[in-house]
Amino acid sequence: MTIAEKTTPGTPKSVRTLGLVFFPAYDWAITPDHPEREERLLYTQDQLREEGLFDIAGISEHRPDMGLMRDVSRVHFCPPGFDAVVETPHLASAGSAVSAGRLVAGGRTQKAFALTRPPGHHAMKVVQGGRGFCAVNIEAIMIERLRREYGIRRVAIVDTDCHHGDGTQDIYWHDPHTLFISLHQDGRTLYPGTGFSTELGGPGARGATINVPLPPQTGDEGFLYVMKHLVRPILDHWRPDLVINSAGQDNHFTDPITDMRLSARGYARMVELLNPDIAVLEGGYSIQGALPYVNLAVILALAGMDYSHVIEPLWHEELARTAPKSMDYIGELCEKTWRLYEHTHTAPHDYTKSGYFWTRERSVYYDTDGIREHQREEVRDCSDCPGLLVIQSTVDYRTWSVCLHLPLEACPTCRAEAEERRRQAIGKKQPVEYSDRDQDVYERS
Amino acid sequence: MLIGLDVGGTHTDAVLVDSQTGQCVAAVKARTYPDDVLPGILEALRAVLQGGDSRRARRLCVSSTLGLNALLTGKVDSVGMLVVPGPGMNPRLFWDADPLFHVLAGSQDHRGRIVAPCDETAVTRILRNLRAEGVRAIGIVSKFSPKNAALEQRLAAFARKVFEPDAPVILGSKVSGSLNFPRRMHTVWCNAALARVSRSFAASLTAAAAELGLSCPVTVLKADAGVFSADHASRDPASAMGSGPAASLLGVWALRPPSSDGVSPASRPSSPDTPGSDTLMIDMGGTTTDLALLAGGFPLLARKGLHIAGRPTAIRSLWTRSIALGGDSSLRFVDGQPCIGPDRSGPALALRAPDEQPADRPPTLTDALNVLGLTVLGNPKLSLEAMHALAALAGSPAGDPLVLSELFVAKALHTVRQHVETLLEEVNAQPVYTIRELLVSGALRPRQAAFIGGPAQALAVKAAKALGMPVFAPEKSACANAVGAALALPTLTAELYADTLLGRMSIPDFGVEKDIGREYHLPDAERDMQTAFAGFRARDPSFVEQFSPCTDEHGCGEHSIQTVYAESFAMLDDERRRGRILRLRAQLAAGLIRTAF
Repeated sequence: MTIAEKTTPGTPKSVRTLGLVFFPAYDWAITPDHPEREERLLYTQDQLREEGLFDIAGISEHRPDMGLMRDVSRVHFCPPGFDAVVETPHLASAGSAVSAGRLVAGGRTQKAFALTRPPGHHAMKVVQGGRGFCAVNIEAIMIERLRREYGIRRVAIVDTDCHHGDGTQDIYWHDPHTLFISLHQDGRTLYPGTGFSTELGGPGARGATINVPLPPQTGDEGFLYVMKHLVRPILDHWRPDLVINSAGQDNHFTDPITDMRLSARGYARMVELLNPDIAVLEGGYSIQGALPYVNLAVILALAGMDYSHVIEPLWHEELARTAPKSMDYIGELCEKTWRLYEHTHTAPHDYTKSGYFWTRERSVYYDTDGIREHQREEVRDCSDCPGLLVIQSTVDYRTWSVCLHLPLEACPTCRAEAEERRRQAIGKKQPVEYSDRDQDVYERS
Repeated sequence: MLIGLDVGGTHTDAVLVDSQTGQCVAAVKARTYPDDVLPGILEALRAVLQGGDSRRARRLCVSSTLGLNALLTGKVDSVGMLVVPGPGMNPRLFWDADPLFHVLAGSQDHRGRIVAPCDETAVTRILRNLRAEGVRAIGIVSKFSPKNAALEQRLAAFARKVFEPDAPVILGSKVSGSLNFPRRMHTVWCNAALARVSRSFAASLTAAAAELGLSCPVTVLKADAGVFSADHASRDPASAMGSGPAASLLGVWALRPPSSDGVSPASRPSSPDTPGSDTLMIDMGGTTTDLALLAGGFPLLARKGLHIAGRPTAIRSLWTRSIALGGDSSLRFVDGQPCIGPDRSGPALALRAPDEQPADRPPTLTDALNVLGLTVLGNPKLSLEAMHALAALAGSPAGDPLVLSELFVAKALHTVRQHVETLLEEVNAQPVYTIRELLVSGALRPRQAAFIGGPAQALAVKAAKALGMPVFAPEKSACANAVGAALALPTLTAELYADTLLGRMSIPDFGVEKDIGREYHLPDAERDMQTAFAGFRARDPSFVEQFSPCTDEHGCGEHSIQTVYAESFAMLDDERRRGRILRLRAQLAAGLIRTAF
């Protein structure tokens, strides 16, 4: 309430309006000692409250809506059934991302940040179980909901988590309308062991996936170099309608499970350069030494406010330094990656062609549940649409399912082919997962 | 006998309320003197006690604008502020350019640990300079001080060495246990600036009460609709600012008739699922209409705190919404659309002085009510004339003054309804932090309204239709706010923070700090909280007279300590040691003194 309002500015105003959806899931953990535990966002909340952040005119806190199974099925195939894998916390987290996305897409705020857990960027198109603390991909669920609800087309996702965003990459691997860029610690030194420069997207979407594997101990200078000299130019060239930041805070120099040297202010500067519309929290497990400061700095950067005083207690110039040798390596990496982005007409080396279909086989490991999955993936080489995607998913030598995905703007030929494949599979009594994005129809049989 | 005093802008009201029946047995109005509230209070007190036996008084409670007036007129001490922000936002963003505002190096982290101490030579130098500049009060605030007040206490010791012993030195950890550093800064500033004014006010009030033969406790109404002792108020004057809406809400609450919600049985909600069903409170004055809520039998408090004189504070207050709409709001057409307010065009034209030119100013909402025969105020003919003139100006099909008046009244009620909806939206949009709350939390939807103020009775029937709920408008009571103050119960709120790895527990609101062991759990915290409450109750004079709360069907519940939240987090620090973080908030909520009515 207000009494005798005068013009004395006791409340600062943000440059841009920012909506925060803070959902710390205080009653959920993977296991009590797991990095993904109740306590994870506790100190962040204390810091944000104590800062008086929510008193800033232009920064608002919003309650999340619960995620819907329909939102999940728009993105994932889940052969064991959603009930077996997706729990309420995952829906709540996805719902938080969706709520944040709708703030921006609906024009209520200029920027939004979903500070939510559990994360989602290791969840792939097919979900047989949990991977890398994730069950469902909260960014993808948000994006597909916004596409459905607001007709947004070209979306760029920039993943700044220290781990390669292999799940998001997989979901948009064949989608030429979604640009996915991942900055991460080199896969030779960290989970999940992927994300090399040569991973550039499926045959119909080459160049819409960009990977920047950074050497361990990359600090502020290194990250900002990549942002300025590679990510920004690609975004300016690609011209997305919406930019999403998968904001993992585990590149921080105090993170216990990674080996990078980014500081809170480095993070903020990176966000400033990237200028995303929506940020979604991913990893970050230095819950006391990093998260309160990194999250605060990122919020201030999104709101266009001064973050220069956000200096973590353990910070020291040496700790955030990038070795000169690494800087040389990063410079070359950026040049090489830009060339790869520009010359995407080269044949995809990881696929073989059979008939109208490009095919590849691969194996996926679900570390949370200890499941090894074998996938045979076929994508129709189509000049009229991104092409029908068929994934045969096998676990324990048993074909679980034939997954049929008709992308947005699917052409009649792909549509007919999907019907044919579905009929065949049903004839062979194989379980079928069917997803038709244009009709927004998702069925199992 | 309970004495209630309400100091308003123009009048100071005093009432005697029979503590047996809850009836107002005497009411007087005295004038409020613009420069000093005390003479008005004394005048009103003397008048209301005439013929009564002052020895039978069990309590005196004052709701006054003292602090606010002093702030707005600048009759306060200049305050030297020492703040220790540590890492985070620049505290100057929350403060005007102010040469007395000093940002110190040093820091505490989010668990309250002192990461870097303050430079003591620099602190002493700053304090000496402040003293030399004529500063008479000091405010000290460190970020995260509710979790550990040691840093602030250390700075306070320096301040006491430099300043004379009676100089107010106010600490952030003392004014609020809630985490909000900028709000603590502003609250500390208010308390420091008002310290001397309120000390002398408390002393004069107590002396005056004694002189009038009152031996009962002297209390002051707070913005959260509770009372605290005059002595406590002199130490925390900020909490008594903005008590006006609280007095008004308590007044309506007290005026609701017993055993019914004030509406005929047929129109009462058929299944009142809670004893104190949620009620919307509407107070329509001349210039503004204030909305507040009773939820689950208690006044709903704002999530953050009172915004006062441009300062966001940590002062607990009612969740209210103020609309620029009242009986004196002007009626006109803007771009062919009927428009009410937001400006006030003075008293209704029905009360127009004979020499005033008719076309000087537009008619008011009260004039429209006069035309409709809902009120009979002044000379209704003048109202009719004015509405005729407005109709001619508008040149619309709504040229008939009756139709036009209906139109404006409907518009006014529509505006109120829109604001009620916005208020409820805000209230119901509270963030939640657990999956359980996300699944179950229910929305607050009041099913009845209580309506007071000048036009309330005239509008009650139409308001019920517009709001879609039964509306109760009590008999006009000139001194409802004073009655509210007379019947208010004490309130208390406290936060507890415990960190078993640091081995520390603190309840900053009561100044309690103690060492704890590894095996400190929620039940221990709850017990410590009860003990702290009991200790405070025993010491504070506002609790000396033990009143019980009214517990009838629409009144508040037990006046016992409620736990607002109690959370325990397993923690695992960087060295993988296990511990627990506990957070607890408990309160004695606002309520009315039980009377036999």
